[in-house]
Amino acid sequence: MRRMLLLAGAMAVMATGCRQAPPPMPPVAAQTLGEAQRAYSRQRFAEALALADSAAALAPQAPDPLFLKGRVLTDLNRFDAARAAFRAVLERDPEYRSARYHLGQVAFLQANYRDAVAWYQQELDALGRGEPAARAAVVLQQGRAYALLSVPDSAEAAYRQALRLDSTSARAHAWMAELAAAQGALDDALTHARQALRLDLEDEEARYLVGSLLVRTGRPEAALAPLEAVVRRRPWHEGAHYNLGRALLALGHEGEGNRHLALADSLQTLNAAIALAQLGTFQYPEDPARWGHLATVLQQAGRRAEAARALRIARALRSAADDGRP
Amino acid sequence: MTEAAGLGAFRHATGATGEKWFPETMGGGGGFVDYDGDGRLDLVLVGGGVWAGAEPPPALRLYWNRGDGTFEDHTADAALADLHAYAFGVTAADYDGDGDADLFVTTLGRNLLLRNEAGRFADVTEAAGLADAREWSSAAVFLDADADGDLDLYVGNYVDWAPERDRFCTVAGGQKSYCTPELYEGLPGRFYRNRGDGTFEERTAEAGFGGTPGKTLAATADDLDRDGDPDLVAGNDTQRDLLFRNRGDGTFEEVGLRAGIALDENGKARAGMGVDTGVVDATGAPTVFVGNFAKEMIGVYRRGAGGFYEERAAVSRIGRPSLPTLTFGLFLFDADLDGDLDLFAANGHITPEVDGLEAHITYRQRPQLFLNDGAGTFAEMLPGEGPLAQPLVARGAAYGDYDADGDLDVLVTENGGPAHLWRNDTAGGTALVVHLAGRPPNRDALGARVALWAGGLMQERTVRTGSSYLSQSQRTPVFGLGGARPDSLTVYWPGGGVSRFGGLPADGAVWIDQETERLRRTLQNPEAP
Repeated sequence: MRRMLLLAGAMAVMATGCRQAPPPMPPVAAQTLGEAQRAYSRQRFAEALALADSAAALAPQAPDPLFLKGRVLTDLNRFDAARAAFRAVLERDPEYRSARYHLGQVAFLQANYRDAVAWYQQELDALGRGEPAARAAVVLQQGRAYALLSVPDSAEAAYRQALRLDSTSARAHAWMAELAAAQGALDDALTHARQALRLDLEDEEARYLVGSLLVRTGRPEAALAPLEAVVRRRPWHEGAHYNLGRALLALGHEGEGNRHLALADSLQTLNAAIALAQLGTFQYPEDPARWGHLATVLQQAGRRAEAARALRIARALRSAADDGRP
Repeated sequence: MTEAAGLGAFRHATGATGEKWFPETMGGGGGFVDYDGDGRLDLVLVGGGVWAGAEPPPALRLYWNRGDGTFEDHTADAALADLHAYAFGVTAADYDGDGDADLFVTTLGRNLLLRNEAGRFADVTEAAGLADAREWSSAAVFLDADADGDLDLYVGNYVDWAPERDRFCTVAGGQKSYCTPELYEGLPGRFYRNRGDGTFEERTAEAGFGGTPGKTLAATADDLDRDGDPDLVAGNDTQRDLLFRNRGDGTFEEVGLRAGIALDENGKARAGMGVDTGVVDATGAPTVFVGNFAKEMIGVYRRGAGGFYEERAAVSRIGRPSLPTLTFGLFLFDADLDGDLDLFAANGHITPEVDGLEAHITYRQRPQLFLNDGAGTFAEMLPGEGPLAQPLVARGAAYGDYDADGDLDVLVTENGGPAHLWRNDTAGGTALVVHLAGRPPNRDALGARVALWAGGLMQERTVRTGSSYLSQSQRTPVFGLGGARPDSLTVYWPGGGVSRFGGLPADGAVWIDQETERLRRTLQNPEAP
């Protein structure tokens, strides 16, 4: 799920910043598509999918309904179908902005990072020299794919390019921090993590990075505030509990430190169950029971927003099955 | 040297028939052991196993060292040919103190204690009291936990699996593939106290091993807190790794989480495989190494003040190069005899289907040799050809100087495949080999810690079994000197007592007797005085 969250920033940019004006559609099709988009924004996935299909039927040559369908299907982990939708978009409009990016996202979510890199590059080629915000989002995601391919120099180059295009990208700084930390450059990592947090004070992952890097660089006292803030807002965050426990132990607070370590340990089981449930939704994305189970374990961990999303998908799949739709 | 050495016919058996049963992925170990006391290291290779109805291989094959760099299959001569089991690991120690190396083989059911009777092995598992537990065992470590002079036994266990409890797993929703351990209950390890009469009594709970997570794949014993008794590290697969601190009376306290070796730097349990410990820098503090799954770094934890370990995977430069690899066998040895411990990692994925999934992670993987710069920072050696360029489905790994030329050679086993023996041809290295004769019944001096000062730097080795993955390395300490002249040698004997020596040879071997506290020079590599 974290991987999906890490994609979200870039997807938002591509969804709002890079779309060209839709091709002319019959008014009723455009209206239906608008309803589909509103349903999607409310995470009413079955409704969004049905309305996108209706819009596509009303305007068979229009790429926009298929694009939206691809995005909904991506959210539902139905990657083959999503890929087919995005390809159909490109068949209708080879210049369609961000279709290649989303094909990259589908490959990324399936851990096919080489394909993802190639699709992102195609999107960058299509963008040319314009739209720096969109290019920053794509190149940032390309860097992430390189990092997961264990090609750190390419990842670093991409992150740096993303920062040149958009110096306010908190995510780029956060990923630079992770990259530097993995290479043992902990002070550099801390600098980037702090910058990421400065740029987005609501970014709990950046806050966690700052705290955990302070622990690793021998500054446990300074680590307490950010880590305590993370465990307050995300009590399921095993890394925050773990590093907070380590910091407290280093400062001589045995009881409290051990309590957080024990919490980190107990979260292993729950988080492993969540990972397993997520895997189930990847392998069987059309099985509402898998999504329902994922919702249950996420709820147990207190991850309510993610649980609600999984539950909405489960309901959407059940209602689709009741309606006899594939 | 595998073919030339006479090991070319060996094949590890997984028994795979297409059912994709979990044990088929785990491989078998091997090791170096002088079973006949002739001063040369022989080889043992775990044969693996088959499922009901198939012709089983010997659980263990034994190859006698002819002394000319070749081996001869002595499996039948050693009475091992008719010994069958679905076997995984092998450990060697003189558990009965009669002066020869006995063997312990971990299996999918009843483990095997094989007593050495003048070069023939007798299955004494039942008589020794080790036959009751019938479960999937992996790592085994002999150690004198309670300082009573005889060798106790820790057996790490993996998961509760049986054919009738096999789960159906897929890689991408299609055909059955091999499962990962999350789907099975872990089995905690067991601890057996040696009664001193050739039998053992289980003391798992009493010794503090009860209630800890299982899924153990590797273990090693080392005096990590320098208080004179062996502590124990267990690498666990998808469970937190364990550090059992010896209280000094043969009972243990599990402190891995508090110490900081249990989880990665983000508080997540990893898929621990091989483990080893050693001093790799000038601090003199021990560092724990744990091989992990693909996309997980090899764990590197150095002991610091207060018993807290510092996570150093990235800083040591081992972390990132180890991300694409799935490391099973893992050990420290001075590969180039330059005076510091290098790290060897035997890699290979568990499922062939991974080849089609992620381009940068493959089923067959190159082994890795990380050379130490002396400060605990490592650089991966990347030869264009030779063994280190050869992708394998590696599992077990061990080191030993089988050709008695002073440097340490490497044995690697493959899952469902051959074993590989790689001769080390380090040129011009000098080394000091330190043979220890412990006080009976611990004649091997298991648990002894040996510190050598040379060229102003201290090196350290511990005499022990276990480490790596399912395998047995040479126990005799070998110190690379890198041309430096050794200044002094200190032996911290198991159970107490310290001996210090000077006047050491600049290249060669010494023999030290615990009883007499005398040191004498010997030929290069005799196992017996």
